[in-house]
Amino acid sequence: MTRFTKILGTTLAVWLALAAAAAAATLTVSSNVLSAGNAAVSSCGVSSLTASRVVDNNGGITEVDVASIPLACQGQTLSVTLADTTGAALASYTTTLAGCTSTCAASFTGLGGTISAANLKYFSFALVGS
Amino acid sequence: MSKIAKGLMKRKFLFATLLALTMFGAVYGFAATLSVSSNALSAGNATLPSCQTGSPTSSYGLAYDSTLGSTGGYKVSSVTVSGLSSPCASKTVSVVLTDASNAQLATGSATIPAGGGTVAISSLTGSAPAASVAGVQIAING
Repeated sequence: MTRFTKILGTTLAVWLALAAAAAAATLTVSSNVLSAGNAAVSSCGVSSLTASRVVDNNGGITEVDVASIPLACQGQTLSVTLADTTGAALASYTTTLAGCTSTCAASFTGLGGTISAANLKYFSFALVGS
Repeated sequence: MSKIAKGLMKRKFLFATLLALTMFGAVYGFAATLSVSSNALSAGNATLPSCQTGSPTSSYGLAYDSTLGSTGGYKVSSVTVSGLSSPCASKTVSVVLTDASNAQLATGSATIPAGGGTVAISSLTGSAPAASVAGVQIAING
């Protein structure tokens, strides 16, 4: 092999390597999976609810009743919490609204009178669909 | 000029040409590499694929919080997302609960199990009073 052939070969090798380096600078972009969406969280039409309680002769609560719940709430789960003046929970109850006619109603009975009516300050309600 | 001198000149010309070509290649190669790194700007585009077909559905778990508002109340304690497609398995589903003004109330995320289906997000960051939640945003990323 002549000296000239060696120089030619080396030069071509260097040139090809540099050309490859230049090509590698082209940016390849890929992306991971991305799916997104949003939805409104609707209400069944409750703006406010009212509860009443039944008290035994010792001042203990034996029953809590919630009435006039919109018919659209049928099938949803009603949660009720009885709270004292500080907002601390005294007891919580849940039930699924069923058997509604023009409106829905729920009664929590057999509470045993263990909660003093004198301590009850607030009812808190929540309805959630399944 | 002698034959030997002519041959020598020809070889020198070829050598000079090859040297020039090599230097050009070197500059071209370095410049192409530099344009990405030195300017710190790279660009390209790609299609964002989606693994989800159909609309996932969210449902909510509630918990009473005595510190909510002035009298206590119910807040959303968990979000369950169902209807997730099987190709989304092992990817992350993120949920944001928003109020009526679209302000963020609480967020949470979880890894979608094998086969997709349903995933429960039981740890939420932030506080979402049940009465304030007006919207939910769901994103799947991975």
